Amino acid sequence: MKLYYQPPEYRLGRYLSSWLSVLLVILCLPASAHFYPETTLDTRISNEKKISLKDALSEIAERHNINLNYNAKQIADLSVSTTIARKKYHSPEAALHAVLNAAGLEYKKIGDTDYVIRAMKEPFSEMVPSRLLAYQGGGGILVQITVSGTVQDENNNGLPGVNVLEKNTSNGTITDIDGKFSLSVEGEASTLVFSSIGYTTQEIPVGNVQDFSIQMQTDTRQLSEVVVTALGITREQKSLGYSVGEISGEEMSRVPQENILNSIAGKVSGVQIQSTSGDPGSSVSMVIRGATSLNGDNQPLFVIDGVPVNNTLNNVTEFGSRNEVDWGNAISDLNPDDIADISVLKGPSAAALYGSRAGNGVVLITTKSGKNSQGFGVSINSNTVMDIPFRYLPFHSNFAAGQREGILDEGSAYWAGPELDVGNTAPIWNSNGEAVPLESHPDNAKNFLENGLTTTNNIGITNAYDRGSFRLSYTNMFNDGVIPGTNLKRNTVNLSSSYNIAPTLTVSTNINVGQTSSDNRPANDRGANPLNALYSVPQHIDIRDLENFWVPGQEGVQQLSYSDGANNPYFLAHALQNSFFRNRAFGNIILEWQITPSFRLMGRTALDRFSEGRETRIPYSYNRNRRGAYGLQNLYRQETNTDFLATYEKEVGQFSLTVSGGGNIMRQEGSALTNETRELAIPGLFTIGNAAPGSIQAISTRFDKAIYSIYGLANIGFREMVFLDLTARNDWSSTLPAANRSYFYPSASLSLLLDNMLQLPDFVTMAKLRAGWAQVGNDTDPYRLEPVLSVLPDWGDVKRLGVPSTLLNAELKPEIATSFEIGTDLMLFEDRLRFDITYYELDNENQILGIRLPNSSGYSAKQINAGLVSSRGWDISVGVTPLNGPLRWDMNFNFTRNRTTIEELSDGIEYFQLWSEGKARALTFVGQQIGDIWDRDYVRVEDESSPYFGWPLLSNDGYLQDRSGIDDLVKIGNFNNDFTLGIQNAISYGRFTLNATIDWRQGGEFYSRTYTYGESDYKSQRYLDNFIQYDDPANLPELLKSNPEEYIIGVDNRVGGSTPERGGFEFSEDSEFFPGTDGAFIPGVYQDEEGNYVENLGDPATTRFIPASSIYPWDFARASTFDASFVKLRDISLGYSLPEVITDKIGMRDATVAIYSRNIILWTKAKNGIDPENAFQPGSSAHGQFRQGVERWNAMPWVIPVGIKLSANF
Amino acid sequence: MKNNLKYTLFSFALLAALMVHTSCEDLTELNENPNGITLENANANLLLSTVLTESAKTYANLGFSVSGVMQYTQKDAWLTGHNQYVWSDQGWDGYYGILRTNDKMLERAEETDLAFHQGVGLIMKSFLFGTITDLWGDAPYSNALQGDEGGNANLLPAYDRQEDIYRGIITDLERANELLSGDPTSYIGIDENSDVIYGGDAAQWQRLANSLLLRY
Repeated sequence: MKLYYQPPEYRLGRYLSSWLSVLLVILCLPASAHFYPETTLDTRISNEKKISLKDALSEIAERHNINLNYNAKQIADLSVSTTIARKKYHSPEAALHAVLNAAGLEYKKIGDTDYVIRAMKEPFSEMVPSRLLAYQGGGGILVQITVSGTVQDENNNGLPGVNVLEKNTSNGTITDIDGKFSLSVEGEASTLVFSSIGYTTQEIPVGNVQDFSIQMQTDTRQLSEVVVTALGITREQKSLGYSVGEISGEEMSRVPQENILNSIAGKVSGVQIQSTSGDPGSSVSMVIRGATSLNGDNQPLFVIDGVPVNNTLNNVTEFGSRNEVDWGNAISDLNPDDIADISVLKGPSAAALYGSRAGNGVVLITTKSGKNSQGFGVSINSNTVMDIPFRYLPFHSNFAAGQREGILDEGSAYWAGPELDVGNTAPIWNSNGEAVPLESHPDNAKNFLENGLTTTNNIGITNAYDRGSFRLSYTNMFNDGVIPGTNLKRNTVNLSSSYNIAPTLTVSTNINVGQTSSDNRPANDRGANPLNALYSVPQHIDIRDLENFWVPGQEGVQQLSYSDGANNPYFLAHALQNSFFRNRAFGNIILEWQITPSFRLMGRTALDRFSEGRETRIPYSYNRNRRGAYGLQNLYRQETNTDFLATYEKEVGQFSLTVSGGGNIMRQEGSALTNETRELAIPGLFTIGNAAPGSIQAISTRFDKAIYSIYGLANIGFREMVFLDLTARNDWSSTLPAANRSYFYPSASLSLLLDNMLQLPDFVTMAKLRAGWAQVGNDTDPYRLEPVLSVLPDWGDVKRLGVPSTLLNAELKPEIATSFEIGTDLMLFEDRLRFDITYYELDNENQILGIRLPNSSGYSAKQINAGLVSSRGWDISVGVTPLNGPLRWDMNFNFTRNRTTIEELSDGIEYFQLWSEGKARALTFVGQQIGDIWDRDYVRVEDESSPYFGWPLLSNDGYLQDRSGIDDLVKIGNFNNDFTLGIQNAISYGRFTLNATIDWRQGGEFYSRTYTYGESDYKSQRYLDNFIQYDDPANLPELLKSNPEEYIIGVDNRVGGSTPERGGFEFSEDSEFFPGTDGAFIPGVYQDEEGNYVENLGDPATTRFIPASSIYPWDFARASTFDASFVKLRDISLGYSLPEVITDKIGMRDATVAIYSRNIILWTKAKNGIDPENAFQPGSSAHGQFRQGVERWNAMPWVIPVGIKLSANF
Repeated sequence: MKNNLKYTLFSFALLAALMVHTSCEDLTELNENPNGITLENANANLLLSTVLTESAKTYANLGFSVSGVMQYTQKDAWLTGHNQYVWSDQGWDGYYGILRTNDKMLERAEETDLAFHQGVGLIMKSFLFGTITDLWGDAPYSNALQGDEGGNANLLPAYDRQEDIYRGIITDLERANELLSGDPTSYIGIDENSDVIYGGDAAQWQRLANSLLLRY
């Protein structure tokens, strides 16, 4: 049988052309179209055995995995020859054509895999009534009326293939190619039901209307019923025994965020997104179902179109002194406009097929393709958003710089000097020795900071043609930061293409090439952070006087400063520059071969590669590198994955079976080269060669890693009722010793569709129970088995070797996480109420931990394999559609609660410390929760018989005394939220759509170092306000003793003020602080020389007064620890799609205009001007690990963004 | 059909070739750290320079805290701050860190029969332990620096009495004196540059050993 027409002269060309197409990805050339084989069809009807058309169609549907829509009655008595029906056609179209042609029917393709069957010549609808009438002869008198009409989609195009059914009967028809239908129904009392895949079903009473005009609404829920699961396998959601979080591309791009992770916040239950700064280029953390690994950053694996792409949380380095820069995480290279869909595989059950890389969950991102485009199309998106600052740190503007009342000292960090705006005068830094009035400048922050501006422009072209499809898009993003002088830029080109080499063989590719860069990134923390310098400028100084930041005549050498040693914020913002670029390319080539209708093979190779250059220029006169500094770092990283997957699908009786097996080879390599000097020979010349002699520190490192894997999965379905998934994977990791290198991970999950098994009440549309059990693992970083000696910085011209202080473990085993999850999916009241509820437990064992050793052992830490960390939590999503008419309102509530406990550590190890910051330590004792924050205790009266029992026992000079032993610690909070709730709203009416996502995070605490410094330096308004108020000093002891719990016990009580009007006490002549009336004291007792308790409650004879500016309880973290609860409006967008009258005129298919905003802080419980989400700060070491619950000068102003988005399709 | 199959097979063969190409690496070899050398390959001179320079730095830094100790109280940079015996941050961690490197240097010197380096290593060990016990009294000594051998006695070493530490120091210094009393030409493997104190002069080191013997 000759199936293919094949001119011999093209044989060579066929090879070359096909492979050129693959390699060059020029897949849209019609030139290769003539290689396409043509099917010759035998349409004769013989006397051979026949089968019913219905059976023939179901066989075709099954074989080609397509959905067929037809009226069962229409084909009820038709049959087709088995020769025709059972022939192996290579496309569903060919098969349908063959079987339908013989029966006088034809098909129309209405979707990716959806087809409608209808009469060939005469409209099917016309023949229906007579046939139906023939069936209905039952009993009563039939008053048949014929109704007709048109069904249209949302764009007012006729919609073919819509099922039109008379309610509660089997009488029905489908619409023709123009969306028209005609149906004979049983009188005016009947109701028509319109349904079509992908659209919401509508019921319309007939009444006396005879000509209907129906508009179908897209049903987003139904469309998302198909989800992308592990290895990119598309599955029907109902068959899954685990929870998968889904976000559509539309949700991601409606309100674009510079870092796509911020678009996920509030939209998926079980996921915690934490932006580490208000700056759009900073790193964003994503943690799924709690941080259960004490080893590493707990970030999930990101897989984009099957390409695992690198993303880490810790991207902080420091060149120069106190110039810590967060360069942003690499996932921000991805452009939101290119995303078609995101699947969040939350737990091991969903992610088990990713084996040792799935320990923290997997985020699968599918980019847009040209597959569904109708011919050639162009889409354009343009966004502009302005960030308008409106709230700044609430620091006071009452006093000039100085530590003591009335004394101006511009070199002092304290803001407790002369009172402002009351007529005080003094010579100041730029008054040339002349005394000038001291006035406040409350708008310094407002004057320094700017409106931020971000523009994102994207153009995409798509095409689908007979041999394949493609989509090519280009995006440019530019952000001008709120901090002057800072910016962020991104350019990306994305190409997605597929090409059918032959009907059964498809090659496709996704390629993303881009650059993310910045001329200047702001530094964090203290030192080079412009915000820190901004909020250090004393209130009597007008910041605008500092705007020309060089001393005239000494440009490039000496910054203009109000005090020696103080940095000019403009100097830090403009002259001290931290620039970077990251060139990145990731992509894959995929071959898919449908060997037989039930057997297919996929092969793929994927690459993710980036090189990043970072450069820091610190000019002369920066206060911590007076002779400047220069740093240059080149990073390179590459990962390749080559994998294959063979899949066999079979229906056996009432069972459906899919079995797949595959393998993957993963290879990573990377290198880093760092050169740094902290002293430049010539000012203003930023080259490594200009380093002062002997000052260059150069470090180079590289790494290699590989994981080889094989895996298999089986899905067994029984009558659309029961689905069982089994998976298994074995990994071999290069980072583990040979004996422990190979490890096996199984998983099983079960889905029960109760609505198909039991008779459920009518209001239940769908009811599913599911359960899953799985194991996944986590290997470790390379080179953690055997120690090596590394070269230390040179000592003059002497080389040195260092012996590492961490004891490694040559017998490391992989971490093993075992999880169990159980849940239910419920759809009630025609899907207007939807539940997706999951409870999970996860036990992570064999943690690879560094535990601390006493240095006297010779080592400071030891790597061990120990411990058990358990997570328990709930992911709950509830969807409601309160309104479902022309005005439609959908709401989704995404609830997350997770608790992670350390159940076991190694013998003799009682706690694990995540970080220590100032006086606070985030440490978790065995049996307690991750995230606990501990503070020092204060020395108090221990004698229960004393009237002062429990009171602070002050030092002899009136200060609180601290106790810092491990047994003295006091728990003051936990940095994790009690729960988070995301609320998504979608309201549509006519051409208007309103979308809003609210992100509420309740509970938890954070330690604000901005407040530690801001209060100990007497800057914060809160600190001034929190002195205990009193009327008459003589009554003070009585007042304080009347309520010791309120006034005495604790670390944050103080009485007094920086002036007599504010309650300041006068120092006596024998005080070291004499003279002054800015005295204050801490309520409590101290002991005299005989050991008797002496009340320190305000009696001038016995009270130990301290200057008000110096009374801050510096030794206690809880004085600046706050509740972390907040509510943010993540995004809000009001869109309007232009009427056709306008779009048609300019030749557009459709066009939308939207105004939007994002990330607006609506409420924080702490009310202190700090965004609690940003309490996620790199450490002060050069290799800064991020520390959740800590905030250090992460004091970006709160902003109201105002954005506009224009989208058009041509 | 045949041709169809042909390039399908060709495509997969290419893919298979890619997989084979990447898979023939040995995973153990891949995990050998290229960023440093193993102890077996370390030259004692390069460890000696680390021990000497780091000891000098640490000892010089003692200036601040020792003066703090001696004065009992000290005015801080902050107006109201007093430094009252607050030198708890000046722990001995740094000393034991240097002793770790010194210990490995001694090990290498013994393996490679470098008498000079053994002598200097014993002097530095004595000097550092001497400083530790001078400052803190009782301290881990006999079980110290053996964390790499495992076991709780080594990971959490017990304190030795100061008296026993001094005894150990004296034994070590006597042994150093012996090692360094040889003919100057008999010493091998000396890199004068690495010995930032005495430029590889064994006699000078011997003198230091004896001076320290007098101290302890």
